[in-house]
Amino acid sequence: MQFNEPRVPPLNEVEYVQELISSRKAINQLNFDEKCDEELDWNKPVLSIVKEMKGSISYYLNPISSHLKLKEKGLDVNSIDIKDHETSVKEYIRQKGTIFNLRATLMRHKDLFLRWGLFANQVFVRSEIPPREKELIISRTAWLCKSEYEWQHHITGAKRAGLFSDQLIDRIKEGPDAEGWDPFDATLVRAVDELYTDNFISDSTWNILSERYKINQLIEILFIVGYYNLLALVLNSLGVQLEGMYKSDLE
Amino acid sequence: MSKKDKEQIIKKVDEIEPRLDKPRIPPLDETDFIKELYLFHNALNRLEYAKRKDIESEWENEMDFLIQWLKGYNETTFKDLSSFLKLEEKGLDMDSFNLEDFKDSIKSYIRQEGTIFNIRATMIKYRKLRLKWLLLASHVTYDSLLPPRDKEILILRIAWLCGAKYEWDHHVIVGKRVGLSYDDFDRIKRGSEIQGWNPFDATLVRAADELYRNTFISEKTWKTLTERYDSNQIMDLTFVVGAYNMLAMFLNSFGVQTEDCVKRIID
Repeated sequence: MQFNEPRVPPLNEVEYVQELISSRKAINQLNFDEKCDEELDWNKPVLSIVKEMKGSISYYLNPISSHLKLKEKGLDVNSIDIKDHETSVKEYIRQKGTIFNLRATLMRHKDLFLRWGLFANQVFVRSEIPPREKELIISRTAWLCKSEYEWQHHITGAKRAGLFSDQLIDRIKEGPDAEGWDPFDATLVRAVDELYTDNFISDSTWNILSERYKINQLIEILFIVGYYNLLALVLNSLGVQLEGMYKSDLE
Repeated sequence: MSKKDKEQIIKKVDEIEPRLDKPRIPPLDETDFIKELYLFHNALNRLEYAKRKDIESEWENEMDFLIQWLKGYNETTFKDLSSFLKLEEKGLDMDSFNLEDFKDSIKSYIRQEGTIFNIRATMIKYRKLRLKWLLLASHVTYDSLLPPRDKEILILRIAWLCGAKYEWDHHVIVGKRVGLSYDDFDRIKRGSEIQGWNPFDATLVRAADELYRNTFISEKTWKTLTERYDSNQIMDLTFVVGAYNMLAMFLNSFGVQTEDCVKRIID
């Protein structure tokens, strides 16, 4: 289902980094009055959004500026003309550019990018489901949705983090009835299959899940599967290309 | 929703069977829900966005817009509620009165007017996720670049495909407001092959079908879409279908029930 070229091309490396810098400048002007009143428990989630917004851009931008050795040169990312560093920026993104094509494609649409980014951060980074279980849910979703991009990114990440063995990856492809599953893992995979085929978790699966998971985690399963399904249809339809470094992982 | 809208909505053709006839996880009760909204509103009001006067980038405009949107999000609800409770006449305001003293009135307010109560009062149990969803929804639902009528066709078709009764019920009301007729609703249920479609509307239904079945928009459908939409609009199209599919999974699996006030309007 992948094309050889994207239907909507990503920004090029320099444009992408320029947008990162410009969006950071904009986001840094956001402030939250922190006079905390214990009772106002909504302060915490709202404050964490502000921090996440600021942090997420730095997460992508800081490694680039250290790759460019700006500090050693007495420069900083806000004052340079990024076009002067085109070759190094390209080199950095080709080598390490995590989720570059996805972000550089959606970045064309700023309003969407800003709001999508925060939601994505919740399911991808801030999830209350344990990481290995979360990656199981995501990978099975990616597999069913035939998203090469999503699958390669998550399988690679989970292998590097030591979460997945090769046998486990085979089982994820085979589904909940494969041999050798831990029973709860199989239930998670079954939940994904039920949602993919029927948009509904059956009673028997729900009962097993709710024995272990709290309400937040139950809400999250739905939004993880739903979100990675959303992302798969975006990736597939826009023809977002897998980056070279992930392709080599395939061999 | 105004009285006039309510009168315009007449009769449905077929029904989606609800997956569950009661919720697996119940929503907050009405008073607790209003309390949450109020705390949420207060927290959002502590956000400040200082847009620079000299240098303006598009990002600054987007940020400014988003923060204003968030701050204003619950304002209408509080305005309506306080006039329903006749707070002003009683010399009270939202900041000074005790919600517990108005339990019954809050209940009847929500039963009568609270159109999207159950989904919010369920999701709000997980504050952070509710907030993040609101951010995404603020784009796909409210600030989408798609024409409102096109967007509702997509939402209704994906709700129908997912068998999401709650989503369908609510969006029939929205659809009516943006100019969809009962013939349109009927066609949306029957799919893109049925007679009487305007060709572009049929393409929208086909796009939703393809995304639902294949997680992919075919070459032919893509071409027709790009004749009218630019690439940002197409991104919005994929996001709206995906987001409402996601919401359908949540609504179905939690057994979120259509509110009586909505049932009364669409039955």
